[in-house]
Amino acid sequence: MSHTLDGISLDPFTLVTIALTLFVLAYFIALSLGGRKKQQKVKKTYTLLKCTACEYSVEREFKEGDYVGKKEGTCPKCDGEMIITAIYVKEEDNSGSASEKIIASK
Amino acid sequence: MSNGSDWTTTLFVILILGSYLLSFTDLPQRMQLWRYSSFIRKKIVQLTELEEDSKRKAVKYLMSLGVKEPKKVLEGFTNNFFLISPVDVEPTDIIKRLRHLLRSRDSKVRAYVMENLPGAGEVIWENTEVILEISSALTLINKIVKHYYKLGLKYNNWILMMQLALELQQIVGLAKSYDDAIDAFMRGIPIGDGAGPLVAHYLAGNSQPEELVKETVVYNIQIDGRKVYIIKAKGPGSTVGYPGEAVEKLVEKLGGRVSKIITVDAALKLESEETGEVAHGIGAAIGDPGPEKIAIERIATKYSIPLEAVVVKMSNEEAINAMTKQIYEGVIKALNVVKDIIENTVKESEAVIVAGIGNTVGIA
Repeated sequence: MSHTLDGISLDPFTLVTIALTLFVLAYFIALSLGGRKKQQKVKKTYTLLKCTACEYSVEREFKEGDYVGKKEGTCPKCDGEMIITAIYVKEEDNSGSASEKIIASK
Repeated sequence: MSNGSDWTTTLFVILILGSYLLSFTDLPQRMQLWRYSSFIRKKIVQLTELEEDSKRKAVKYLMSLGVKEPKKVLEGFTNNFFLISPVDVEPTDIIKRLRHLLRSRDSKVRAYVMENLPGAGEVIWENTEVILEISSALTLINKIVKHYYKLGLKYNNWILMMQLALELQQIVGLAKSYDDAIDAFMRGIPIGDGAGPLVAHYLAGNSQPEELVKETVVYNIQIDGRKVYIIKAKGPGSTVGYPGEAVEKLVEKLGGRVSKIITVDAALKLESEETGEVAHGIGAAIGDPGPEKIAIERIATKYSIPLEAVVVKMSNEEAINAMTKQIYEGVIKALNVVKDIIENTVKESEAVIVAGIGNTVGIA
């Protein structure tokens, strides 16, 4: 009992062997592809400053020496004292566009 | 004999032989041992890279502080500050003995850092201590993994190899987060574990702190006629302080007239939970080896003071790395929960203690 493929004779034993080989190959390829790292997001550290007198707040990139509770400069709106109220990390896409933004509110 | 019967006979013979090999020899176990050991070796390479990276960072940090022989300082710390647990078959006084051992170790580590960085100041000493501890911890993790790997190979213990291989993914993840954490301590960025001290900082507002016990401060404020005593580690250096001792001392100072003790801390989340989730319950939310937690429980029991806990959920990796925006949002939620508890369950003119538990790096 044998199958022919363009004149080549393949008995079932050869077919089973080929199928098993293909399965093992596919398994290892799937393993190696699955292990590849996904595109990682960039982590950036931000410092949040708030005015002690009005509701003004600004978020900028973290600078060495920043800590929560540190007084830094005056409010551009009311000349009140600005204070660092939070430092946190945000995940961003690799484009980096968001990191250049300085977000001011109210 | 036809072609058909040829291949069926061959296949049958192979199957019989194969089943004998798999059932009556230890070949499958040998193959698994080989596969798992190969996987473990790759992971050990990763762990060694992380260990070396942490050492490079620590050396760079010490150099930036003007240490002349930073490698020597690091090597002098690694492996040399272990702690032997107190005898536990006789539990009498075990907490007292454990506290004594922990304090002795803390003093020894501080003396070592001060000797190598004279005049650097408390914040630098505290941050340096943590950086050395992290680097040392990575060395220890690597050593333990190598120990079990060699043990598995020595005794052909494929079960040990399999267990190690299955655990390694998690161990490498933890080691990676330790290595990343060094950056946060080098730059003085608040970490996830700082959620408790950050809540305390927000609650204290502009009030002035008073050092109650070593590295631990208390603020005294009023919220709608309630006297609120806020305890946290003294920042912005990297320390957890001694909140248990501070709560104990404060309650005794107030003669036990405290209507509630609220502890706020970071808590490990379950995989199904979201980072930054806030929950509240009963008990002392503090994850120390024992002495601080038991001090809070004992003093609360002595004066029948209700103990409430507010926690911000996060993973182990998030707890030791720079605080994420999600955790910060959790801190704001926890702050509101604490305020609600004070306003709704504490009567006017009564006193309440709020203890922000955790590492206060980057938080004044």
